[in-house]
Amino acid sequence: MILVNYMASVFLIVLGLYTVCTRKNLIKVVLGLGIVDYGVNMLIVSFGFREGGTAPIYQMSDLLNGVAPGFFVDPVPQALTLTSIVIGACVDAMALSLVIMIYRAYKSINADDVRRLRG
Amino acid sequence: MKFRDGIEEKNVIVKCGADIFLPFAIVFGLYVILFGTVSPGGGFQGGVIVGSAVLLLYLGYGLKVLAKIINTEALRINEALGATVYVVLGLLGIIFGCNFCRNVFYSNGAVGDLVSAGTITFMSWAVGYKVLTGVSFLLILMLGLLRDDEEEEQKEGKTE
Amino acid sequence: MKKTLTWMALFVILVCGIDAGRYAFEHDPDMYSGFNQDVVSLYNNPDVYDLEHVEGVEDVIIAENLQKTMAANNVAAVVFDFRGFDTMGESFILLTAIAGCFTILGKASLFGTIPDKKKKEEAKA
Repeated sequence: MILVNYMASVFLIVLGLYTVCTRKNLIKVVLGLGIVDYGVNMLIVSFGFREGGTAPIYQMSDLLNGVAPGFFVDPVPQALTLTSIVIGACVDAMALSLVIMIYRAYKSINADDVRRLRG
Repeated sequence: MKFRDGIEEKNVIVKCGADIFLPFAIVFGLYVILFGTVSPGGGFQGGVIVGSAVLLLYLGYGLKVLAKIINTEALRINEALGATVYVVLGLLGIIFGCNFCRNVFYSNGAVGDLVSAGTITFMSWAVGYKVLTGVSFLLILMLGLLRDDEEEEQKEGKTE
Repeated sequence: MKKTLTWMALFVILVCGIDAGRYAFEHDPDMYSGFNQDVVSLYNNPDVYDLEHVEGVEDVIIAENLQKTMAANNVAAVVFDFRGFDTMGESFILLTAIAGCFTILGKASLFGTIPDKKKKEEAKA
């Protein structure tokens, strides 16, 4: 429940959408696709914050000495974000492979030059 | 550009930096994978840290040394092996008890031990092994596209 | 014309997103505040927990974790035990992405020869 995190995530998503819509260089388009993923991941993790809570791990040194750590932050959104990060990385890898093969076939990565199919 | 055994020697500073940081990357990554249930980390995080060792090797030594040291066929087979081990560990639940992915042996020792968590530990090791080999294979695949540039540089270096 | 339309659409999305963020910040739901969760007593005797005054899924998971899995890392227990099926699907997507990249980039990488070089060698000979 942090206000700054929500604003920053929405700003990142809109920035990524702007990059995909208005840029001609194909590598910049792929980078914009990645920025949308980062914004969404930050939004998911920010939904699980509780004020005054600590990380959801039992620390042996604290518990055996008798220091009370309080209560935990939500562990479920953090677990779902791990899967989302791996999926974002896989999508970026496949998109960049396609851009590399487009360059080898057409000799340019401007989106205006690779529009028409060649016979 | 200096040549040594026919392989071009890159910057000395980059090579020394890669020499210093390579064992740290491998050992720290293996520690994060092994102690996945006790300290922060787990399978995915540790696998990516070990995968960065391939990148350090390329930066310090070049593409020919990379192709000579690492066996890419073995990397591709071991990645499928990691996925199969994960599915077999999940099917253990059906063999012993009721549902898929069930923790079947989890009470051998205290909470802070390594094998006290049951199938969670072994699943974490299997996923860490899979991500390790998978990311290394992907990096070698993409770095192999620079083969033409290195051959042109070698030809220019020999004619100079 | 197209540029002004794009700018206007993105501006509308930004304003709606900021308004949604402010609304979510003010009206957070009343579940799992966590203030009645004592971690030290949960670690010392994990068999005693009551499921009558629960406030959401996270409360149940944190209360049942030590007794059912004996793992100190709650996030690893959620990823590999309570939600192990999602992790299997994510392993498969990693396998599929690497197989796809190998299919697309196969000939130009270290594992084959490039067609342009073959044509040059044939033209010279």
